[in-house]
Amino acid sequence: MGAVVVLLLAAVAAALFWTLGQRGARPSTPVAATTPATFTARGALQLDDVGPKWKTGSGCAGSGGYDDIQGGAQVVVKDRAGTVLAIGELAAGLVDHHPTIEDAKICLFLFSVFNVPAGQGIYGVEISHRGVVQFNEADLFAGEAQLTLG
Amino acid sequence: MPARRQTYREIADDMEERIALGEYVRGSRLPSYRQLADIYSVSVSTAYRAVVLLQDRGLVEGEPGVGLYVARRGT
Repeated sequence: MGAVVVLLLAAVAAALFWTLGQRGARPSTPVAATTPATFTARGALQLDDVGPKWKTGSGCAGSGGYDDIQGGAQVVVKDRAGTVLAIGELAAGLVDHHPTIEDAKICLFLFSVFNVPAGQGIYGVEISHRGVVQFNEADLFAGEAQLTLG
Repeated sequence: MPARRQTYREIADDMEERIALGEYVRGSRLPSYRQLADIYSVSVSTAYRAVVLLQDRGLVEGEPGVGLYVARRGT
C-alpha cells in the first residue's frame, strides 16, 4: 500500500514538473526566412553541329556566322524591363557528343554570372548580342539555363 | 539497378575535397575532361560543368586545349 502511494506521488510530481517546465520554456526562436541578396546565374550555350572531325574533350569556338561565340564573349543578365543587372562571360568552349543526335558533335560553352540580384523571378540572358532569352530564377540558380545556336 | 550518376556539383565537391587532402597537389596538372568523365562515369559536358564550378571557386585554372591545373592558391 505504501509503495503504491509513493508511486502515485512520484507520478503527480513528475506531471507537475513537466507542466511547469513547459510553461517556463522559452518559445522557440523564430527563424527568419532569408533569401540571398544575390546569386550566381549559371547556364550553357550549345553550338550545334560543329562537325564530326572535332575531338570530344578538345577546345572549340564558333566559326563562320558564329565567330563571336567563343570563350570570353559577353553574357548579360537583365530584368524584365531590360535593365542590365550583371555581366559575365562564356567559358572556353568544349567539344562533346550531341545529346540527342548520334555521331553529331556540339561546342558547349558554360557561363557564370556573379552577383545577380535575387528575387526578380524572370531574367533575360543575352550572349554577344544574339537576342535576349528569358529564364526563371530557379533554372539560372541551378545551372539549368540552356541556349542553343546553329 | 544501375548506380546513380553523380551531378556536376557532387563531382566538384569531391574534387575540392581531393585538393584539400593533397591528392591533387596545388600547381599540378589535373586529368583531362575526357579522363574526368571516365573517372566519374559521366559525360564530358558534366565533367566540364564540374571544372567550371571549381574555376569559379578559385581552385582550378586552365581551359580545353591548354590543360587543367590545380590553382596554386585557392580562395
